[in-house]
Amino acid sequence: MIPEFSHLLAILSAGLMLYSSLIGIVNHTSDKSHKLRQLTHNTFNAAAFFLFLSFAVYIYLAIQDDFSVAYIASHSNSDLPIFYKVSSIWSAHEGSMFLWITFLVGWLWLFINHTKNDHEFFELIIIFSAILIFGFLLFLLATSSPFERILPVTPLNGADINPVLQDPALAIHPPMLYLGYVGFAIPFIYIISFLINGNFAFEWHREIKSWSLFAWAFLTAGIGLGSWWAYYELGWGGYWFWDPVENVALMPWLAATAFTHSMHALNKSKVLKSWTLFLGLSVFTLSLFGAFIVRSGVIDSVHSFANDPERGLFLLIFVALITLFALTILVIRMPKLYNNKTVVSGSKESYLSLNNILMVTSIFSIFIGVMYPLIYETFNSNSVSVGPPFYNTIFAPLIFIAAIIISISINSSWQRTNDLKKIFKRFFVPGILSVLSTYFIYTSSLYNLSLLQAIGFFSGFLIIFSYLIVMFNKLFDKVYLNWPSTISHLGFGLLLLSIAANSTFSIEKNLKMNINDSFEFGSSKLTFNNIQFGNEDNFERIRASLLFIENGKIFQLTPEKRRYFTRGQITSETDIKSTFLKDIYINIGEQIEDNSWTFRLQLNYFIKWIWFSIFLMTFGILMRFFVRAQ
Amino acid sequence: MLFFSNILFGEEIYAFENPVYEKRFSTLLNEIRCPKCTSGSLASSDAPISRDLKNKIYEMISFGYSDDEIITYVTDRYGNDSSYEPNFSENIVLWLLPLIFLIFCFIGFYLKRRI
Amino acid sequence: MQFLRYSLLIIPLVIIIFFGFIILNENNAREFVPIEMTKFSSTTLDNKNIKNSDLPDTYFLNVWASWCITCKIEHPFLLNLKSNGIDIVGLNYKDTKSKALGWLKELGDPYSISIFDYKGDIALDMGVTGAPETFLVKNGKIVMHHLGELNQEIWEQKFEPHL
Repeated sequence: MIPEFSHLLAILSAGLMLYSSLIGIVNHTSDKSHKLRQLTHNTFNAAAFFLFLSFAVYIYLAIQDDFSVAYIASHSNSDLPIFYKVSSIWSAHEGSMFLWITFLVGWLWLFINHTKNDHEFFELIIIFSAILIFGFLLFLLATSSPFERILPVTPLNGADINPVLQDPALAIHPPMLYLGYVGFAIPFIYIISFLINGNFAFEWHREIKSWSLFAWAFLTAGIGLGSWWAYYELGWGGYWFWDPVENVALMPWLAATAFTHSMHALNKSKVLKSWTLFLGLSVFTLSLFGAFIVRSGVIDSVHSFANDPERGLFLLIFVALITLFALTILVIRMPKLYNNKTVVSGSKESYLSLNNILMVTSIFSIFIGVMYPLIYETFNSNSVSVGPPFYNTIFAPLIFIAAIIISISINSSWQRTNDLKKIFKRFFVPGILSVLSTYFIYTSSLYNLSLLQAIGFFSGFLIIFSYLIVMFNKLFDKVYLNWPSTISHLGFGLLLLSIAANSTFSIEKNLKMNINDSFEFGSSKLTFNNIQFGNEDNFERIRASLLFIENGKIFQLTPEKRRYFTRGQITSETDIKSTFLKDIYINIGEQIEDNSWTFRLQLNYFIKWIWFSIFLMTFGILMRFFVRAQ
Repeated sequence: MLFFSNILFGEEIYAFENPVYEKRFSTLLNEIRCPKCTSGSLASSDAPISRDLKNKIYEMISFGYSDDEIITYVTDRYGNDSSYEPNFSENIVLWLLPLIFLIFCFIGFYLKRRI
Repeated sequence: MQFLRYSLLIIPLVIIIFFGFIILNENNAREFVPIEMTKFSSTTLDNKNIKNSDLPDTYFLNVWASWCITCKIEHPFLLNLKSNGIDIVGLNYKDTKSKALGWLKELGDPYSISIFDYKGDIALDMGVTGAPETFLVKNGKIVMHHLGELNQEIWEQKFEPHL
């Protein structure tokens, strides 16, 4: 009964959204009465409330182990802790779609009720939000319903969810990521409303700037969480693989970064009008594209949900309609958007525009990287893979140029050509410092540094030194310092540095050892002490005990291998011990003929710095909401 | 701790004397696809076939084969898509498109700074 | 710059149509590129020495193991082929001799010879990823490689045309 209640609430919500949009459209095209506008608004709010309630009831169903609901039965289990019963909701397509929609409603509801509601196209915002939500709910209820029941014979217990998914970071990663993606529905809808309304003198970007930055923070954190999880759970010591699913998550992030920077330039210098509008639409569009790729099964990936051509087709049509609608409006309105102002060459906004182009090129590169195997296979009886070598090679020069432009642009001014000599003088110090630092790294790595790694180091150093010098100067002058921006960019520079350092200095040793064996390298020694067999509730395990000694410091390592009873799945639990500079990361392999065991030991340098730099980037932006810029 | 009794030594399975070889090995493992997995490199896979291939690649490096020869060995047997690096001359469009796009954008921006 | 506007619309449209095409289209079979057959020197399950030069110019090779469940499923078809006069060379993959011989004794031996590839070196060199897999070697070259269970349909599609 209760599942039907949740189901009904979702249907009711969809109906009310449709109703709200219809009233709004009728009102907008005829009377424009205030009363009807209120009705549109109130209906929307009611619809939102019902959807929240529907999702809340669904959570209740999951916690209460209602296995008459097919989705809960196939993804949850009465033995799971409550936290994982709830997170099992978004572990597969239907439930995660439901979560996505709930967040979409949440963001739009928040925005509609906290933004200026007295301007011309406020009603349009409600109308399009309602239509978008209605479309999503229709898609959910018609093709991907999480409300299907198993009746009359209800299973006594659910299936076990994949043990790999029973993990706190992985539980939080989708919600964080979705909050980022759907947050950009706000600029999307706002821009569509703005364009249809037609008054192009209106300063649309002021309203959505904060919302966009906030959504950007979530998106950054969401992607970071995914990487972090991959690092400590998957066991191969890597954190980014340029897997298609990672790529389609990165594209909206790059677009969002380009968009927020472009808005900033628009704000300060009134240029990049059409460009910013286009970017604003593209972020949400790319998120939808990502959702399509992951959920349609068109591209094989470990991450993708199951392959279902029918669902894929529905999703494609749905995403196509939204995207083409938005682009059509932009294309129609574009002539009216021509700006009288040009971008002044050598101005701050010109540098920003150049980097914007670099960012868009990176999006384009990822896009063709993802599409190429598909296209190739269609026209050839062969196939090809596009992976890290391609992406790393393309990104390196882009980042290199971007770092230089960032460095030059820090102290430049808006709306006027900055003196090239002055710029060169300011670039000189960080430039030299970066070259020297990179050379120092080159020697530290025993001259074993690839060009790509060198570019990473140089770019990271350049950005960091440039900002440090500005901060240093602030101690002596009353120089204007945008703290949120500075911290976020420092975070970015540190990210580049950490990635390069991790790639350059990390060590991996594949070992085979018997009990009481030791392996020495450098000033470190690994000793294999013992191995224990044991049982837990839902798995059996082998746990090895090792000691890693380095320069007198001792680390206890206990990597494990588990075999889960329900599915017979075998997982390897990496043990990680961290120091400031590195992670000691170890996995058990298996036992071989002479009764020795294989181990994979990694010393992953600067990996924590990568997480810290992502944190910095997020923190910098969030500072904006708590601290006034000086 | 028994410092004076004979301490037994574990072995390194993929030991290289030359750190350049070591780097080549780990780079190759990241650039070659696991033949049996939906997606992922040899470095990230523990499947038996991955282990076999890792052993083979270790041998080949030790015997002096070049990176290209090793990659060709794998793609001959497991398909063209076993390498994550698409061949440059065969897929020149892919490799050059980003550059062309970049130039196109720069020119467009320069000509029309009224956007 | 006029056309630039419309390209904003046309390019996504093309991409969307392309995806629709992919979804609706079944995968086309990949063309197989021949490679040299491995030059090996090994032993058979009944402890005789064997080199690849001992084998005929043209032969079928089936990769199997006692631990392989699908091999059991395709086994009757292999016996069928044998009764129709088709010689199959077996490659026993990562197995133990006793288990392999026991398996053949219990289910029947469809192979004219069975090579004992304990470590899987020969298999690796041929491009094997698991069992069962079936190959056709012609004049020292592998001209066909099927992954998975062999049945009548696959036989007709992939192997018979070469006979």
